[in-house]
Amino acid sequence: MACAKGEKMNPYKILNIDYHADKRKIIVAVALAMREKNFSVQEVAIAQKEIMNPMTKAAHDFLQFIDVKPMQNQFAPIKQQQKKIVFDLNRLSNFDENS
Amino acid sequence: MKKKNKSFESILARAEKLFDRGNYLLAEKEFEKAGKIEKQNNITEKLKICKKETENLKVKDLIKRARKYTKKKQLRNALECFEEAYTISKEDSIYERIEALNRILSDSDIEKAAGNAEAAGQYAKAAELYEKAFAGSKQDAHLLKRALCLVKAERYEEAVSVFKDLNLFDSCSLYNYGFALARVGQYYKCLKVWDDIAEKDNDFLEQKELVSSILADDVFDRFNSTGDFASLYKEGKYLLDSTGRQDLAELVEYCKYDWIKKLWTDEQYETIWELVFDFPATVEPALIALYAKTCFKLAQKSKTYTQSHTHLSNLSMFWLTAVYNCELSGKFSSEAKERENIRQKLIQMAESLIKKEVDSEDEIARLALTYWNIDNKLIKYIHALAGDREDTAHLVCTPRFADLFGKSAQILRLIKENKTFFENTERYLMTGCYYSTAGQSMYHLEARQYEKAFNTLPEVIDGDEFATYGMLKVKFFYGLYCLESGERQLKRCFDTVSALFDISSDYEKKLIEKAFECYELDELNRYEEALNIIYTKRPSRGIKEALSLLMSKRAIARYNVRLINNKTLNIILQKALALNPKNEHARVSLYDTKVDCELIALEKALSKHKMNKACKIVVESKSEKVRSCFFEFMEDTVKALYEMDMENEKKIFFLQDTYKWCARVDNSHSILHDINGMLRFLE
Repeated sequence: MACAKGEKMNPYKILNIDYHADKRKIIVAVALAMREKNFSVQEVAIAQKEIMNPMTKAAHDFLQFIDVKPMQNQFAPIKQQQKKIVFDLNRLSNFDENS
Repeated sequence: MKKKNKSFESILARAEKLFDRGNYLLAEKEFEKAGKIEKQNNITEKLKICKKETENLKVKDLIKRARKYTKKKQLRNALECFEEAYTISKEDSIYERIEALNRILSDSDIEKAAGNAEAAGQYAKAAELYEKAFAGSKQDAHLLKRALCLVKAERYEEAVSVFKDLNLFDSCSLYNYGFALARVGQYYKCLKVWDDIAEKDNDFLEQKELVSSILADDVFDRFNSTGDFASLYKEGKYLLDSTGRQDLAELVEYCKYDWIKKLWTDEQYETIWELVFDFPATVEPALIALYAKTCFKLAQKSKTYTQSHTHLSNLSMFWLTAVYNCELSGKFSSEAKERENIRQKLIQMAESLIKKEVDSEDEIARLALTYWNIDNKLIKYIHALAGDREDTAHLVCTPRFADLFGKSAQILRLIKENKTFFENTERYLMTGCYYSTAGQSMYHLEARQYEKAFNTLPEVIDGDEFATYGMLKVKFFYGLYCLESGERQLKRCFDTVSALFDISSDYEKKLIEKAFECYELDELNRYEEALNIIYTKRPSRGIKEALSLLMSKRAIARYNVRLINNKTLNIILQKALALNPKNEHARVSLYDTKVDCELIALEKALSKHKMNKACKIVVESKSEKVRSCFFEFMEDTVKALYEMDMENEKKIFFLQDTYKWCARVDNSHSILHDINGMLRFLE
């Protein structure tokens, strides 16, 4: 089981990778993260551990990413239904009298 | 008459007098006269002073006049006065006033010129003049006039840039600003500005409709060319809400989800929640996941108490539904065992989140944990029941989720069809109850919010076994709560309880246990009332025994605070014994009461010297206490009689009587021997 700290963090954000990243990419990302020092060494190490463990990775994959395509598919394709209206707007003087 | 020649001295004296009085004007004239007669240095000096003072007075007078002119807005006259005063005094302060007046007069001229240009239809020129006027005055009114002229001059972009920094309230300004916005292609902003116009003039409404249509076209165009989904969503939603254009509905929804994708990356979970909070009738698994994850992130991230807890209480409803969802959990892993492990890991993550808040002794978090525990238990049953079947897998969800998305009826049907799946009737009814119309009430009950549970019971149950079970259970526990708190709702709570006892006798046992535990009179009163209500409907052995005991306990409690007398106590105890002959409490109490009654009657008889009655009470009593009381009294009497200063004959007479009474009660009592001894001695 991962520690609470691991659960709260987003390892993908720390390592700046997406969930398709393979082992080699993860290791490169860890090295980069260590060099950039945006996160502590401990945070980077936990992130790596979380991503390398299939079970915690699956949990993070579920928690950290969303998929909106299935919802969008309900509405696509969208077509323009109306004709374009000619822009012909004249200033009304009605309000001048009121002012 | 010949004019009298004034002497030099008299002229000088008069001049000096006037000078001393401060009348420098006349003094100057007199000094001049005197100077012509005879030149003297001091006269020249005084003349200088007089001239100086006269000038000062003139300046003062001019300033006074100038002020009066200013007040009357006759600025040009005021300026002339100030200028004259300055020619005399050369004072800086007067010069500053002249400058200020000149500026004002110049502005006024510009404003007049601007007005004239506007009236003549030279709007561009008017706009420039108003800008100049603003440069001098720094008044927003000049800017507003400039902006309006710019609109009339069809210089819309410039107009918009002037309008945008102004506070606009009147219809004219709002209309023209909106118009300029529309003409520069900012249709959404135009409509938003026009929304603040109260007037509903037909021409205006038509124009607004036209701009709405143009905006709709623009939204469609931009959807195909740009990726600013946030703006497209906002503008499309605005049109959808304000005009009801259904052709935009799909575009709006599509853009919403694209925007959500962006918001998720930016960790803007609050905005996502606002966007998805309007729950649709049917729900995609991906949307369930979105609800669940957003709730989780918000519960994790929210800083404020209220925000965090709103999401905590929603978390179990969405999170458990999501992790048990067949399609979503299918993506965890292809291996069933691993899938289950990941599910449990996700469940544990959310549970830890809630428990962490509970640890901080937070009442709402505790409530969220209660809800979580209920949902976690129920969804396991439903998952075990329907999770592996393709036709029913979509029904695996928490009760509140089912209610929100209209799945409750299907789940209840599923539960009914699989009654044998449940280990006992109560488990079956309880599971169904949470998905029934009494579900919300059950959540409150589990959270020990008894009043809320009772008040949220469905008004119509219509023979539904699950809701009926919920109603019975809620009424029972609310009844227990009333018994403890003293609420007067006992009849409403306990008149249906026998049906619940038929489902599970545990409830009956629970009530009886609680009844046995109470001692306070108020509590005893309530429990006896409740048991009486139940007894009339369900005279079971347990209820009978509990009621019998309660009756005797309550009677004693009332007797102890003198609410009832011996006689009433006796009657009640006999009734309690009749109800349950094995009621030892009643039996013992009844015996004690009887003895007390006999003692009272004995004392009464003895005090009134009704010895026959006293003897009868003692003979009939089975109590040693009564007997002892009688003989103690007799022994005291005999002793007192023997020692009394009285004639022996009388003593013998009384002792013989006493002997007779004692013998009637017990002819072998030792007192008889003592009395005999006394009699022998006296005789």
